[in-house]
Amino acid sequence: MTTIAFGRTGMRAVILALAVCSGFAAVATAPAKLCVYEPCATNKDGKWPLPPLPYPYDSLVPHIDNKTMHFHHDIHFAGYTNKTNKALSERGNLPPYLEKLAGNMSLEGMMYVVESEPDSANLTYFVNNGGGYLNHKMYFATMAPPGSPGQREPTGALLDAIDAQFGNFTAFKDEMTSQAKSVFGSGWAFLVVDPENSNGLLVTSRPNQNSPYMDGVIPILGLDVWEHAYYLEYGPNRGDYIDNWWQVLNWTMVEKAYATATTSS
Amino acid sequence: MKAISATKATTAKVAGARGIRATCAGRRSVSARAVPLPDLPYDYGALEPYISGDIMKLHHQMHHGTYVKNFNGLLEKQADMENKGDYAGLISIQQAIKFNGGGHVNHSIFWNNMCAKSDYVEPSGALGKKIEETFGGLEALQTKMSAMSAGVQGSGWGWLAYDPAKDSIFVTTTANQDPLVTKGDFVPLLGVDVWEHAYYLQYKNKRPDYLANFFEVVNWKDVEARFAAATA
Repeated sequence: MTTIAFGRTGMRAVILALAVCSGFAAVATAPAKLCVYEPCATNKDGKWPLPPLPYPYDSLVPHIDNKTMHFHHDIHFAGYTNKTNKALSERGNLPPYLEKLAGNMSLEGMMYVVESEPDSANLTYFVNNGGGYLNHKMYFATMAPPGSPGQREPTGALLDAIDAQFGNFTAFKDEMTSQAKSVFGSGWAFLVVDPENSNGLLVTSRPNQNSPYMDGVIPILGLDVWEHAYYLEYGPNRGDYIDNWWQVLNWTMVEKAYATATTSS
Repeated sequence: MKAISATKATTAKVAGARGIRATCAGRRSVSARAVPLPDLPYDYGALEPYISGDIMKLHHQMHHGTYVKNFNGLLEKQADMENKGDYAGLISIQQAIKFNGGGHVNHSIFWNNMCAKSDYVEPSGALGKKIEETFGGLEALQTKMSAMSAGVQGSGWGWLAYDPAKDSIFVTTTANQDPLVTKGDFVPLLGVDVWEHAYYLQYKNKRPDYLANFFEVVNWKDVEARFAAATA
């Protein structure tokens, strides 16, 4: 079952069709492609796990402080994880098309079929917390201590795509920084892959924990500009935090995510 | 309906902030009058230990200060655009005016809504009675307002508001720096800032703890005065 020619409407139809099929094992490359950061499957108990930080809490100092890493991962990310699992375990509250997918699909796949305007409190709860889980999963996975192997500018296919879309890496960095600075209130800036636009790259932003998956694009890099991400170290100075965030990125992980997002099934 | 109210209110406020001069040629030109950053009615440390002096200083000088600075710049731009007849430009900056002007309006109310613990008294008089009738008492009001404010997703405000059309008070929230008027023709009586910058340094993620402590320093006299003005 190829997905390339489908576009979002087609892909969404494929995913929804899964919901009525009983044999999930037969399909699945379409949704799997949407998940570009582990974990892409729940634990044996059907719960999405809180992935441990892949580096010491204090290893991003002085760019991101130890206290923030503890609070951000162990409290905020953990909170989103718990509430996502709660939303899924009380899946009777979700609209039927989502309820059928729960337990059989990546969260990314579920988020992909959610319409951008949640129209119920229960759906809003799922979107806020599921989005929080997905966004933070990506955020912590794409950072690494200064000096580690992934810590250099992007290379290979991802760099080619950046050059093609933005001209050069600096122009892309400026665009993402500018959008991150312009977010009013809480939100994120993202680098996304658009499967409907020949897998072209796009920089975009979203309020609160809204996930770009809801709009049919695949985020491969996310910059958290909620105040909790930077306030302890930087106070109101979001610009300084953003400058420092660029210095702790793990481009190896982002390149892998890009490869996953752009590989045809 | 709500959008129209917001525009009316915004226009009224902006008109108040501008001077209108007649030029020799008989054409009116508008100029923007700078809005000052209001002083706090108490020292930065006056709300300790409920809200820390560090937070009050950063919150007032950096956050409110930045909203005022940006708002003034935008008001000047708006006047300039109006003078040049650049209406598309004028419309394009309205979102930024809502952000920054809203930030100024909301925080100006907020500072006055609080006082040192030594000055704290519970609501009484007409407002006290209204709270009793509407919510069953101060504690019930605080429980409800705390719950709604804690539930704000991302950044925003909790409000105790007055509805002149119904002569009623009620609890509601707004997102980001949207002033209460964006929800309808309501009068803000009491506002609580639940942006993370309002509490994170002291309470970290524990927004409910912050809210409980906020209620320890509410200046009910100020809230009563607003209610009296709205019901006069």
